[in-house]
Amino acid sequence: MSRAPGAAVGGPEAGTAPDPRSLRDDPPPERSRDRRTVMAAVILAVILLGALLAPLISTHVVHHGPNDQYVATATDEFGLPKGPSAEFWFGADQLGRDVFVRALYGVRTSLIVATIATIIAMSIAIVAGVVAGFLGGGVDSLISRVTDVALALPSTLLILGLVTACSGPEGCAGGLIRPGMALVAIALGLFNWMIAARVLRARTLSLREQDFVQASRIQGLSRIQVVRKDILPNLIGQIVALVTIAFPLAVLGEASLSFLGIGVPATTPSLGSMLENANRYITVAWWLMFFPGLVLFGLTISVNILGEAVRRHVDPTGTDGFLGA
Amino acid sequence: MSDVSITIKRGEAFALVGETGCGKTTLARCVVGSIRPSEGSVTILGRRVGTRRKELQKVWRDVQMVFQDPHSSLNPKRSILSILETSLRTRGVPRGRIRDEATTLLQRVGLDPAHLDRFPHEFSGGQRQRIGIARALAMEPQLLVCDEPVSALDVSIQSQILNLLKSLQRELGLSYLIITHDLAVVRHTADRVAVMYLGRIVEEASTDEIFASPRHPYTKALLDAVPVPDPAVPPWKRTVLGETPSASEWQHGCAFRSRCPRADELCERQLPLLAPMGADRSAACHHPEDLPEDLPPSDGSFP
Repeated sequence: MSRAPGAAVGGPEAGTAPDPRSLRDDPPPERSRDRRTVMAAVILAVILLGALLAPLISTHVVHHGPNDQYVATATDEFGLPKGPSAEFWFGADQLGRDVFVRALYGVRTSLIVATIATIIAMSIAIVAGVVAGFLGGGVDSLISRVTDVALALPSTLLILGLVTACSGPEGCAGGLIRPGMALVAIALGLFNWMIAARVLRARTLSLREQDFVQASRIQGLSRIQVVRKDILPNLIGQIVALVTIAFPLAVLGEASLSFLGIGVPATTPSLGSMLENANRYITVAWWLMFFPGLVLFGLTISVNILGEAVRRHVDPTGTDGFLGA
Repeated sequence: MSDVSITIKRGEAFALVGETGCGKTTLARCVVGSIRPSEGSVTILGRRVGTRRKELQKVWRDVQMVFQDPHSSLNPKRSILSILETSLRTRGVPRGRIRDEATTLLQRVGLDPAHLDRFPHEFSGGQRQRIGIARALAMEPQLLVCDEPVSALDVSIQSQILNLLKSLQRELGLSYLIITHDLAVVRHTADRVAVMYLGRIVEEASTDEIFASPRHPYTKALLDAVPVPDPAVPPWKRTVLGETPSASEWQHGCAFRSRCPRADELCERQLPLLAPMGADRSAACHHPEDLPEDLPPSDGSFP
């Protein structure tokens, strides 16, 4: 991506001819890495486009709504759902709903929830990590201990409790937080920042000791300016890396909650609730599990692969390492 | 580090030498105010320097620093222009003039101004060190603290950087505090030298005097340890034996006595203080080396 195409480097596939470039320590050959990245980008683009255009596709292409039931055409004479066909691309579920359309809407739910959850998690992580790492001393100890405690808490259990407690008709926190996608997103975000905060703290600690931070102080920059100009820009590689880890986790977290039946409301299609539903019909209708699962898999893995590419692009020198150890 | 007192005159290049861990860098950081001395003070241009940011900001106008490692002293995420802009804006250069000023600075340190928008990783070590010097010069300082300015560079590049420092000193009337362990650097650049051992200055004199006739046995040992590029000369005339003791082990008497060939029981009892020895030079030793006229001939044998 960032390097010239065709500049295949070293590695076992480079043949036996001694190549001076093989002294560079890029792990995998670049050509295959680029192919992988392009494939991930295409898969992600297809999924994103599908989710974005879900309403248009459902009304103009397949003419099925996400909650419409086509009992006559999509279920057989025993009431069992029919598999993939020209009309129902991903098959239909036991109520005669189109799995393809529901999957598109499910991706929308996943993306919205995961995006909000990731933003919340990364905001907490950046503030906590940078403040702890840069100020050090007592502030660092305090933030680090809070992080340790948060890590030690059984997060799945607490998310379950939080979401359940707020799922009543009047919500919780005096009606401030109401059941729905936002609640799920907040709950997931609040329990997904600890690892990222630790990584960013460690990286900030090492950046703080660099001579250029010292130099900036001598040039008269205040601490906040030093953080803005010298610390944050050097954390971008790590932040991108952490987002590509946190985002798929949030997608899976939302799916897990919906699978357990306490995620987004039942009327909102979600990949997790579809998988939960499919669980009951797995012996007669494999497509109920297969297609939503495939979409979920494609979404998480393509974000991961693209994240790796972005990381390489942001940090072309490769000096930061994977998470900037 | 204790009882260290140095005075640098305007336009003078002052070198501080000593082995690793003797406190050279600590002293440098004190001078630029990034470490607070536990006692004592720094006086710059007659003003005593406090530790508050407001006061330090004034110091940074007059005292700037060139760092040892040109790779960690430049932020890899900022272009050269952005790095120089920080200093120029602190100095109060208006936004519209910054590019011009930065161009002048790059020319001054011998870099192509067309490279202003490049990033540090596109430059070699020597070029990066020039950028570091340009950054320091951007504040128009009177004193430049150079902490091992060339020790991270190739030998061929070292002399280029040292020559640049010398010509800048002539053009801008700069003073230098050069911290180094390399006596060749001292000889090339410095007007005066202070030798440090275990946090104390043991000898201070002009460069010529130190090289011609060291008075402190430690200084002499340092000079003797410089390899001579001549195979006919035996590798050592005399070496100091043993390791540097830890500063915390040292309790009383002369810190160098455990390794000193001239040490006696007076050295064990009493800490020698820095005392004048000859015109404008001083050393801290009870039994200083003799002046060269009556120096006993070296026997040239291996220790």
